[in-house]
Amino acid sequence: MPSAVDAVSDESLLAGLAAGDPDAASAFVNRFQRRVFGLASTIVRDRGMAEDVAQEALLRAWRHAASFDPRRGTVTTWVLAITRNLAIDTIRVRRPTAVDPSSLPGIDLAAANPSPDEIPGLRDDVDQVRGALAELPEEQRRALVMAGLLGYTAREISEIEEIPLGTAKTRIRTALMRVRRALHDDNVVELESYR
Amino acid sequence: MTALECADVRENAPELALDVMSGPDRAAALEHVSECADCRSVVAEFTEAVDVVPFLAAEAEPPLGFHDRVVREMTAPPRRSRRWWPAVLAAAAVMVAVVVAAAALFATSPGGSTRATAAGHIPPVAGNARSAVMVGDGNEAVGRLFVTAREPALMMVSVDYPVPSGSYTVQQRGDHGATHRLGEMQVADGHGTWGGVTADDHHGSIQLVDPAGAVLCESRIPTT
Repeated sequence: MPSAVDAVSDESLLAGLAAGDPDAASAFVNRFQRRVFGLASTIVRDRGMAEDVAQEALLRAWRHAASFDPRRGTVTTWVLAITRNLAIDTIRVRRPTAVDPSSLPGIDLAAANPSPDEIPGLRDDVDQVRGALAELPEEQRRALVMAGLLGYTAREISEIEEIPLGTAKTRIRTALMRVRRALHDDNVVELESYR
Repeated sequence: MTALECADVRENAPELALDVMSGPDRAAALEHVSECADCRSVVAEFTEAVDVVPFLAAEAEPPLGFHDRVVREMTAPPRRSRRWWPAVLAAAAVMVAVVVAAAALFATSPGGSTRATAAGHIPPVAGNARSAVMVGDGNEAVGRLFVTAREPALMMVSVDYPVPSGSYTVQQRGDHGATHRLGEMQVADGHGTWGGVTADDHHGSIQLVDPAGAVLCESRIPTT
């Protein structure tokens, strides 16, 4: 049965976590564990390793809950950034093994499985981004996944994809601008003007 | 600030936002961005797009018992290892060695000053220890890095930096971008110190990283 703490905002939950409230800890893990584990699994592609990464990410969020700054983003964005960085650090030691982004099982451009706790506005953003990425040329989508999820540099992408460095940079930039456009349909002029 | 510098930074803005630039290039770009509001705005806009990329990964159900294990770690009282003394002795030995090395460095610096040279490095002292400045996002000196010449190198990082109190990761970033976690530094009221041993490869940079993975300050490991 859901407890009252399950209904509080992410920010309030994080405050309870920082204060050492056991109910807040349980609700925090319950709320974020599927998304954190899903992201870790997508990046490291090993269920046991993903479990380690996900556990460390949640524990790190717990240890640093008091230093969370809401001006820099949402709690979900913060927790996923911690997870991404930990997962990338984990797979970096296994490089230079090339990874085919199309083989990643967790990339879900068409998923519509919102968590009941998700912020509606954020869900809308993610759906918009998924839609935009689904329309990207395959090579741009691969570049974004390789850089954005797997942590590859443009130079590493150019070597793996056997393309010029400038082409790799352009693919990353164009894909990110599409994401930006999906988030702000009416405000992409300034980014494109810097091409 | 020249237009060419801005053009260079803006060309690399996506990679800077994605945090996939190599150490030296990243440091140079951050230095520019800290002084250029227009470039900072461009990077921030790419960062906004970068933040939603992790949401593209589908959710997945963790293994049975995962929730309970994590919550148990969060709520359990601090445990004391039964084999506490080897770790304490090792840590004490490291700190003593580093402090001795640092003291030797101070003793041979004019007036005992730790002020940085123009290049940010202080020359090696009797082959024992070297020092460099930890540089913050705004290219300001926010701390110091001491490292001994022996292998494995002993290291001490101290910061005087107005960041929120809490625990920060000390990591070594190699010249090719790979990072290696060295330990955790507790920062209280803007002050923190960490001592330990470097990875086998003594090249690259030492970075202080916040919980979200952002590099707060860094220093090249001095080699000469």
